[in-house]
Order: sequence, then structure tokens, then C-alpha cells
Amino acid sequence: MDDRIHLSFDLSFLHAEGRWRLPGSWEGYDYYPNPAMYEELARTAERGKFDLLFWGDGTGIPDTWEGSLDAAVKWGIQWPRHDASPLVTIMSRVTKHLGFNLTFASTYMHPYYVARLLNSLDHITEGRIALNLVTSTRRADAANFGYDELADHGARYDKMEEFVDVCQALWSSVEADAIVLDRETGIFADPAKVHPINHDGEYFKVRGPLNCLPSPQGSPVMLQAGSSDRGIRTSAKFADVVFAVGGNHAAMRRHRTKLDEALRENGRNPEDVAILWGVRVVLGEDKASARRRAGRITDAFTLDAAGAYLAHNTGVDLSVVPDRFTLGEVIDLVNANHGSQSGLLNSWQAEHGADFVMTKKEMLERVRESLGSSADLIAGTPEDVADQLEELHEVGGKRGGFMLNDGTDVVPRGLAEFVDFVVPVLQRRGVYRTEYEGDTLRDRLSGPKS
Amino acid sequence: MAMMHLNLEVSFFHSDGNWRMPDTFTKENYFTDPRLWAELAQTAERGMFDLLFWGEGYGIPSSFEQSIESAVRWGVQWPRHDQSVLIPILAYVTEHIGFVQTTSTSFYHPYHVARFAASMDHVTGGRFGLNLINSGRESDFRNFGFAELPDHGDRYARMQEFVDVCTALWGSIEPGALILDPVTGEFCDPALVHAIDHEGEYFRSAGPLSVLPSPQGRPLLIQAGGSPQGNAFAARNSDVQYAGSGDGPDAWKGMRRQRDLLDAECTRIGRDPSSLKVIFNTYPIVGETVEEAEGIAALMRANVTDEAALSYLSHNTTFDYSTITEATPVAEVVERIEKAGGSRGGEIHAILREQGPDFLVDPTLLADIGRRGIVPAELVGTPGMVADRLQELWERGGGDGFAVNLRPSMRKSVGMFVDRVVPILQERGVFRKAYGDDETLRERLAG
Repeated sequence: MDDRIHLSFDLSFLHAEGRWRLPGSWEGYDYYPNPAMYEELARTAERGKFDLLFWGDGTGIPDTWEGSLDAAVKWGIQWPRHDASPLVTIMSRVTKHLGFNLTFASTYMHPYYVARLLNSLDHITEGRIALNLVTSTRRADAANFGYDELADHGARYDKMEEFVDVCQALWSSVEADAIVLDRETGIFADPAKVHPINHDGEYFKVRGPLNCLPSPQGSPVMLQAGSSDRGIRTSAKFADVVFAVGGNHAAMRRHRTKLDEALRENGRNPEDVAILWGVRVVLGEDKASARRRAGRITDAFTLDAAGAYLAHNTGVDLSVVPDRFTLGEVIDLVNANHGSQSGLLNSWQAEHGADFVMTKKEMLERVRESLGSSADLIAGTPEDVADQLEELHEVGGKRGGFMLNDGTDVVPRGLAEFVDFVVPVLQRRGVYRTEYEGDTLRDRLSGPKS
Repeated sequence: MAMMHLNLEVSFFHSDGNWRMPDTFTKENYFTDPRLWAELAQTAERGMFDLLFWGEGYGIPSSFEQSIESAVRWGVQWPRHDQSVLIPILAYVTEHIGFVQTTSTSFYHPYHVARFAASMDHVTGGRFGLNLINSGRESDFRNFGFAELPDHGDRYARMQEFVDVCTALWGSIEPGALILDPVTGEFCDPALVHAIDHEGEYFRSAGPLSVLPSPQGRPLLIQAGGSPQGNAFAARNSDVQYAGSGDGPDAWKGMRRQRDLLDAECTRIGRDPSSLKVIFNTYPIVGETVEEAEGIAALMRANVTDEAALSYLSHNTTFDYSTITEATPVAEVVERIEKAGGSRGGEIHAILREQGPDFLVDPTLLADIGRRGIVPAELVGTPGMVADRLQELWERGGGDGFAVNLRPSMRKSVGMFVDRVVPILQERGVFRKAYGDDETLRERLAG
């Protein structure tokens, strides 16, 4: 892998979580899911030589806070969330090099469906598709698919690993040169090169083969984002690209080191696996004005909205906490409910320790504040931003790059500003591509062959 | 006056021998190129078609010799990609034509399908439809982990509950729920968003759907096939039924019978029969002259080898016809089919009815049956002949229109139908000359 910066842009919540309220958002477009807006974003990202546009996914409206949908519905927290696959194909139509990631929950989907969909998308994007799997920690998602409770954390990862095994087997079930198309004899394909997979595992039973032609990339680029020890072990098994929380130097170094160890344990070369560090970039005339601009999102969130956000992300109704409590007590509560410690709780604990006492209102205010000034925030002039990206790139081991979170403030303008003002600085410094290379997303992510 | 509807069925241009025809595909430029499909959608829209229709199948046929080998070798009903990925692109290069994706209720969770369909309805601007099926093919269900095919009645019960869950989800957010007030920050009115809390025999789903109300509210719903259970399902749930047309001079009688059955079923449950449309499948092969059209049909049939034809027949009936190795009385063949759990009602059963139990069936005859299944060639002729026939079947059969299966070439056969057959129907005043303004797919086809 080359040591230059690679860039990805997260499209998941451009339209939600208060961003729709900010002045300048959705300028010139009807509201979500207007496809024309996504076309413009794709064109802009390609102008900026991005590797990838990223969609996360969650399938339910958050209903954890106060055991009700109301707060999430009212304030637009992590909803609406449409199936992004139709927008991916629209964006691929107006671009040639840009890649696209879709996310699916291995906990609720069937691998035959996902393997087939991604194969079909790889064909029509001509080798530019990536797949991110999540175990899904969200109760609202589970309930829509018929489950009362979240499955155990470890079991969800076991299922994901089997899910990937099935997909990989299906993607190689039709060999690359199996298709003959001989008009004279009528022979369409060589049966010796098309293989059932006969998978019979703990979670899935799939005969195969996939009833599709081999796709340009053979298999999509695989993304994974687990940050727990178990998550890292799983990503070390199959991920081509990992994404992780950026900003905190010590945490970044730790994640890279742990991943590298896990990769070596799996007999893989750590040089081959990129990490995209999630950061939030907001530009301004100077650092102070950029920070003020970034802080607008705090004002766009009510306390009720912050509660819905936190409860959904941890999977636990934190409206039930007593008036005063310690951080350790909250984290215990989350663990006891099979929830997921969001990055937020972890970072508070790292900063203040488990005995730190707070009130419920303080907790919600901290959530709001963290949205405006989180550790992953990079705010400043284009030169400032480039400096910090370069520094973080160095810290993260110079294998990968960044996932720009939260729409660089507002869209479409925020992305265009990044492309027009930050990208040229990175290019001038020689740390970012000036032209696309390679035939597929996978080629581009690994960089030019040396 | 009511007009004829025309839907374009587009599942198999690339397989089943069609790829062998001149001017179709090359290895370098095969059917996965979205530009080919964009051109096809624009041609179909020029011809004022209501919609493009994709069938669906999830596995490589494996009934013949209990192996995928013959299907793989000859390209029988495979490859089959998830073609729904094309729809957004095609919607973007067209304004009016609709898009229908077939989806199995046997393998998916309704929450996923309801969400996918609503998202697609947004992106197409109200031009999306779903053809819900239940799957009776071994090659499909083995890919989704089922060892045995569920019983026919059970599949329908599951399908009914599936559509019930989808319908509840599509109605879970009322139109007008979105507020988007930038001053207060209020995004949506919680009083207009409802959990569905479905707990049934096959599915549980809490809802609501995480998708904003889509232009059509719910997609156009199609049901295909005229079995008694299919008719009951269509009357209860669907906007449109697709049915087989049969062939021969009396084909209109079969259509009339099917329309009557649907009318009776609708009346029985208190539905206005005119709100359920019926569209009949047709397989025209059009040439400038009769000789040219017949030549195309003959070549298409010649392109299907015996083994390919038997592989197709076995796939469609879930019976391994490689086990019939010599001339065998048809009664014995039928007995073996039924013992093996193969499907009833096909051409073999018709032979038994019409020719008697002792009639001998051999592999050559079976291959011919399979070949006629792939290339029905029931409507072969000049543009004028095809238009005449469609008009007659439409007027006498009582159907609302046709799902036109054009073969073998995407470009040539669709272009020929659009440029030569459609103008005749328009001239006669039986087919639209323009799309209506701002119609959704449902308003146009089933409004």
C-alpha cells in the first residue's frame, strides 16, 4: 500500500441529526432523498479524487430513549434512513473512478442476498463497490427483524465471520474465465469452472454457486469498523479497509498496533490493510471561526434529541439513570444490557476515570457539546486542516487515510469547500493523488504499484 | 375509452440461446453494461410502455440430472443478477416508464423488502412496483438454507403475511408527518408515526418503517400466475395480475375464463373487479415479412440444444427429466412426476388429458416441449399481423393488456415492436399516444 492519504466521505446523516437545520444545508435542493443532490456530491468527490463514498446503515427508527420513538422522530435522530443501494447506482452513473460502500447487518440479512447484490453492483459500477458489515447493536433494528433482544456480542461476531465465509465462497464459486459464449456450439459456460459451495454452518446453509457472472473486482472491497478486541480480531480476518475513530493520538496508535498484531496472527501482512480514521473537518477563515461554525451543531440539538442519540448509540435507555451517578455506573448499565459503549462513554472514562460523577442534565449537555467539539474535529483554515491531516496520517501509521464524517458541516457546500481548498494543499505537499490510478476501487485503495 | 396496456418483460435477453443470435451480445459487451439498459428503457418509453418487468430466480437450475452442469453449459435461466440495481439509473434517463422487480416472499424478511421498495419508489419518483412471488424452485431455496421445499399452501400463507407486514409498514408514517421547521428544530410529528407491532405466524416486526412516505405510498403490487390460490391472493392484495395467455385461435377464451375467475373472486370478497387489472403474457416475434419472422423463430428454437431444453423443462417443473430415457407411456411419466413432487398442470398433463394414458413420450418429444417453453413462438408475423392479434385478444379476452416478452435481441426486437407495432395500435386508437402528466405508475396502470 502506498503511504499517501486516501479519502472517504460519509453520507449517512447529511439529512438528519440537526444538520438539515443548519443555514446553507441542502442549498438548491429539495429535501432527502433527492437523487440530484447525491449526484452532485459524487461529482464533487470525484473532482477531489476521493477513493470512496460511504453509507452506513441502520434499519430502525431509534426507540430506546424513554422506550419510545417520539424523541427520535420529532428531532430527526438517525432517521429517516432509506436503503442506499438505489442512490449508489445513481452516483455511479455520473462518475468513473469513485468507489461506493454499502453497509449491511450480518445479524439480520442472508449472505446469499448480500453476495448477489454486491456482485451485481460491482458489475454496474465497473469494479467500484465496497461492503461494510456491521453486527448491529441497535434495538430498533432488532425489533424490526423480529427479535426482542440483541444477540450476545460474541455470537454476533461469530455470525459475521460465517457470513463473510459464505460470501467469499459465493464470490469465487464461478471462476473468472468460466464464461465461453461460443455461438457456434452454443456452449455458454464451462461447468468445470462453476462450483457449488455446499456451506453447512452454524448460522447458514447455502448450496451455491452464485447465479451471477464473476464481477470486475471478483469480490467487493471489504470494510469493517469493530473497535472492541473482538471486533478487531474479526476485522483482521477479512477486512481490506478498517475504519476507526480518529483524533486521539494514543487511541489511534493503539488501534493500529492491535490491528497489526491481529493481522499477523491471521497470517496477513499489516501493510495490506488500510485504516480510514473518522474525522470531522470544518473550514473557516481562522481556527476560532471554524470552531464556531462547527459548534452550530450543538445548538441544533435539543437535550431530548441528545438523549435519543445517546440511547440509540449505546443501545440502552439512559433516561432511567438516577439524578447523580458515576461514569462507571453508566458503563456497567450499558454492559448489563448487552449494549455497546459508544466512543463517547469510552472517551469520557479515559478522560475522567470511572468514578467521575455527573447529573443526567450534565450528561445530555456533554453529548450536545461533544457533537460540536469532539476529539475527531479538525477545524481551521485549509492549511491548518492539511497540517492536522498530515500529522494524524503520520500518527496512524501512513496506511490509509480519512473518513470525513458528518458531511463537513453542511452539504453540498461543505464538501465542495474541502475539495476546492484542502485537496489542492494536500496535492501540493505531495501527500495526496493528483490523478486516479488503477482499474478498480481495490487498485486505487492500494495506490500505484511501486 | 379504456386503452390497452403494454408492459415489457426483460428477464432473458441474455440467456436461453438468445445470446447465440446475430447482433446480440459479445463476450466483451455482455448484458451487465448499464448503458445497454438505459438505451432499452428509452426505447420502451418512446413506445409508451407502462413498465419494464424483471422476473427473478436465485439459483442456477439444478433439477436436470440433479446438477447445475447442463444449465451452466448452455446458459439456461442463468446468469441472473440482481437487476434492481439498474432501476435507479433507468429511472434517471426516463420520465414516465415504470419498473417492476420480482421478489420472493419465501426468503426475505418483509422489513427489508418494504424498506427497499419504499426507497426505490422515492428514487424513481413513484414509478416502482413489486411482483411478489413464493418460490417453488429447488435451486432457489437451497441457496437460502432450506433442504425441502415448503408446501404450496404454506408458501401462500407466508406470502399473505409478508404482504400484510409490508402494507402495515408502508402505512406506518402518515403523509404530512414531515415538518422540517428550522427554527424550532422539529423534524417530524411523532403523532403521525406509528409502530406496527406485528406478531404473526411467520414474521414479527415492530416498525415503523425508517423511510419517509413515498410518492405512491406503496409500490404497485403485481401477482403472477392464475392458480386458485394465486387468484385469491391477487383479489385480496394486488393491483395487477399477470397470467398466461395460451396460444391457438381460442386463446381469448382462456383469457376470458381467467378474467371471469378474478371477477368472481373480487366479488366474493367485496372488491370492485375493475380495480384489479389482468395482464396476459405474450411472446411476439416480429419480422418485416412472415418469412423473416418465421426464420427468426426457427433459428431461436434451433439455438436451444436438446439438453438445454430438458434442463429448462426440469427446472420449471422441479422434476428430473433425465430419468425418462426411452419412450414411456404418458400416464407413467405423470405418475413419476407426482411421486417426485414435481409440479402439475404443465404440458405433460395436457398430453395425458388429450392423448390418453398410453401415448408414448420420449426424450425427443420432451426436448421439444422444453424448447417450446423457451421459445413459445405463438405470435409470429409482420407488424400488422401482430397488432391484429393483440387487438383481437384484448377486445375478446377481456384483459387489460399484455406483458410483451420480446426476443431475441434487446435492441432489434424491442426497436421493431416500438417502431412498427406500436404505431399501428396507436393509429387504431387502442393504445396511448402520450403518457399523462405527473401520473404515478399505479395511477397510469391501475388507477
